[in-house]
Amino acid sequence: MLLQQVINAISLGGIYALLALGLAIVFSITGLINFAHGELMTLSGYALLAALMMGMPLLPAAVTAVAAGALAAVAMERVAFRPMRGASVTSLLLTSFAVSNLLKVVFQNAISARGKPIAMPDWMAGVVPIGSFTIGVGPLMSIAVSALALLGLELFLRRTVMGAAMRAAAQDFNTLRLVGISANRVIAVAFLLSGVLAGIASLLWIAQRASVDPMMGFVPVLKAFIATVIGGLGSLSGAVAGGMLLGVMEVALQALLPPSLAPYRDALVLSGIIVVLLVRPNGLIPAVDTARS
Amino acid sequence: MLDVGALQVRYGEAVAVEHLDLALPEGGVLALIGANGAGKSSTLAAISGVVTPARGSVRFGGRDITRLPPEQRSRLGIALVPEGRRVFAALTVAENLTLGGAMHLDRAARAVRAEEMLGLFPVLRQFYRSRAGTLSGGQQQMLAIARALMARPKLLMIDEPSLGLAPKVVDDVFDLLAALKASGLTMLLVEQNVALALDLADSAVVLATGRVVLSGPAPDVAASELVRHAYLGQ
Repeated sequence: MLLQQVINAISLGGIYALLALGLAIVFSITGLINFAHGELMTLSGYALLAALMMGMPLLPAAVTAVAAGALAAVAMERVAFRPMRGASVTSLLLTSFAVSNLLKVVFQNAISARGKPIAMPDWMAGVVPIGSFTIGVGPLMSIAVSALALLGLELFLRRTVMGAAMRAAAQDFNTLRLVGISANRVIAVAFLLSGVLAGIASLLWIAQRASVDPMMGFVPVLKAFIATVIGGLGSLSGAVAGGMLLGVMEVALQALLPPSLAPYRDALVLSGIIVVLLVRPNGLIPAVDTARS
Repeated sequence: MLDVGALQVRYGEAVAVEHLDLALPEGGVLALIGANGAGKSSTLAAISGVVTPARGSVRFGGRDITRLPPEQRSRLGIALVPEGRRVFAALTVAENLTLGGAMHLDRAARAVRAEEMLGLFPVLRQFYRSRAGTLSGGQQQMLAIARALMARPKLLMIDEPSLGLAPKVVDDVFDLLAALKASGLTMLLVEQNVALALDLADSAVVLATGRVVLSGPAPDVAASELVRHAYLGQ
């Protein structure tokens, strides 16, 4: 029972971590908190639905969904955020709210305000026996996918020239441009990565809920935003730590709270976050001091 | 090689550079001299593309680059070592060098060039895998210059290389700049240590509140009443 809860906590924390990382990558480079990140998740979900309805097998459909999230993120930057480059944090924030709401309305009117079921294969609801315990396949797969995505991102950032450029951009964008690296390209890659992460998170989210609706991205991305704040806004390792902590806190309270207190779960989680921020105002792992353009 | 004509740089209402003309032939070294706020860094910013001039033109190798973004100027061969060095502190020395040549050289050529840089700056070799932020000020200055040289620039601009460095380290930096000059590199130098700058340069331009007040061959500028009194303390 405890093991199952630990698996659930890591699984949920992993999804939050992926989303928080996407927010943190974009924020660390552009200073934009992209509240339309949730709609990238939703869009990936609809892309998965469409691909499955067209008869694609699950794996190619999943790849299509992630690719759709990535492309949408790049398009979002090109259309909505690039014209706003250099604008104040407030203007950027409002732009992202506008994009977010616009997409929600499009999803509601062009598709449906109601949720669309997505049938998940039976094996995903299965269990793996470990000794005298059983562990759900879904959460285990979710953990494996999150871990692979984190590892892939880490390798990209540490081992490639573009990865080094992205870490440099988070510190000093102007100097990076002085050595010849295109601002547009670095920002486009940041959005691309955030879209890939949102797409993967979307798949994991849908795998546990088996439906997609226009509001799907809102709650998880709100949680991811909280995770980035706990972790230290703009810090990538902080985003992962914050996402994990949030997932663990939610699952732990879900499991431990008596039923009469269950409605207070979110309030208790948020109170815990206030405590964390009182002790560490810059987050668990603060971003290095940055000189942003 | 570099021609700046009637350059004006403004930040909103404030005019940082007013009608500046500069010419720098290939292989030449030009020192830009002036008090704080005279417009030296703004001039470098306009040449490197960090700011867009309000008026005037910047030509490089016969091409008008006045409105090009900084990354494209870098690819044409203009490199700036910014004031305060601005190394990427969280990245290793190796990564800093890689980024310096990322857009100019392929992987193999970058490795060759990085090895050349380690030959030129032996102190960087022992810190090759360390974070640049852990280096001393002098080492960071060496790294900032090496990073700029990775791209094999045609024009190297350096803003206040001696700032905050111990005298011995300043000598090392200027020995290196003299070696670069001897190798034929075109340089534009902004330096508060006017004696050192005029010693290195072929020609000099003195700025005051955004305007050129004196220009000419470096020995003439050094011998001028204005520079001797205001900058050399003679």
